[in-house]
Amino acid sequence: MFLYRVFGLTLASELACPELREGQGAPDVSCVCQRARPETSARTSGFDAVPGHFELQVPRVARFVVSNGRTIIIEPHSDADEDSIRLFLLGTVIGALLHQRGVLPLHGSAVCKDDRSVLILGSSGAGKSSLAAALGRHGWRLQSDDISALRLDDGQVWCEAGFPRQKMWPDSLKMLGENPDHYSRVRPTLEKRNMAVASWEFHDARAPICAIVALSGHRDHAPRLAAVEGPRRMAVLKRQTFRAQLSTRLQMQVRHFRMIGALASQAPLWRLQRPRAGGSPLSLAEFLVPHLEGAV
Amino acid sequence: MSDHQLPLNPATHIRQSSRQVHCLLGDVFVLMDAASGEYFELNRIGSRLWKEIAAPISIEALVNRLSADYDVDPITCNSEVLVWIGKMRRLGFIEVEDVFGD
Repeated sequence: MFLYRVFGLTLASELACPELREGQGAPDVSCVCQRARPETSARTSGFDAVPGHFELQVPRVARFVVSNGRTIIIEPHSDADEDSIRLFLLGTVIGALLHQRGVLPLHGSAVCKDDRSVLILGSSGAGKSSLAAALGRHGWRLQSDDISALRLDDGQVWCEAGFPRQKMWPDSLKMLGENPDHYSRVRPTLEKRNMAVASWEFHDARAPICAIVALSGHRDHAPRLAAVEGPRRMAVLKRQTFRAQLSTRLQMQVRHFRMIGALASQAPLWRLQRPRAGGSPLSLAEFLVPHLEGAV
Repeated sequence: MSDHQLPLNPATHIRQSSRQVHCLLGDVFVLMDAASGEYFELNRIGSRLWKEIAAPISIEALVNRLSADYDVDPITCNSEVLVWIGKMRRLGFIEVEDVFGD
């Protein structure tokens, strides 16, 4: 068994996940691998979510079962590669686990400075990871990539540390001055690359959230920033809940509502529209940094 | 019990439904429908009304309180409050108790 830390949880895993940080102490969650399934057993992808139980079937990869926020069972297909298994494990599967535990997963990255977190929300392809990486050059350390886990504690909403890795498209890497050939693919059939984040560029602990940026694109040439007023923030945050359909218990939806309400009063939320064409994440970060510094 | 067919009269008591959860953001309430999970934002006046119906209150008393605080005549106030109640009832956020069976 390997012992890891992710999203404030200690995970005991039979599957090695080198991107995760090492953990210690009693595990909150265990992840076990069961006998490989022959490919014929499942060709269709799909999921099933009922209170306390989640199942995900990924063709040629694995079947995943998550129970009661405590156990993850992986039944890998016989010809599956571990990169693909980990991609789903650390994405949708851990998202389902967080939902079962009443932790709020948002679809977004998080960066941290002076022990304050900034969430960068947005749909797939909005440019969350590249903006987070560009903010890294201004002293904002990565706290989480693509999924951010939120907890309400002590009257404050906190963002938990994910793990020090970012998924980036080759074009985004080039715009940051990096050579995509130096990075491995997230899975053999995908162009997207894994970018490991050095320990000094990673914020390894939870922190209270001080600002939220909702990222989208527009046709203009200059980036635009607009503040979203208190109650409207709740609708934005709700929309950016990661795999919201996996929140099956009413009790959990109520918990999320309260957390989203607390966060909407705690932190300002800005809509950041970036130019679709010609804008680099580096200039977007330069545009945004003065606003973030004001919020810390 | 709330009943969507129940007609409203000045003595009808209304209250926040138990089917919702709400939170206060500044001076405005946001409600979640516990059945659909949808969020609804109330405006300032809606938020004031919402605060007043935390416990059962007659429509007459509600209108009196509001027209005293806002610069509005009781007749206009009454019709606007009834529109608001109708809307909130359809959304399931208000329970109606016709305590006097009038």
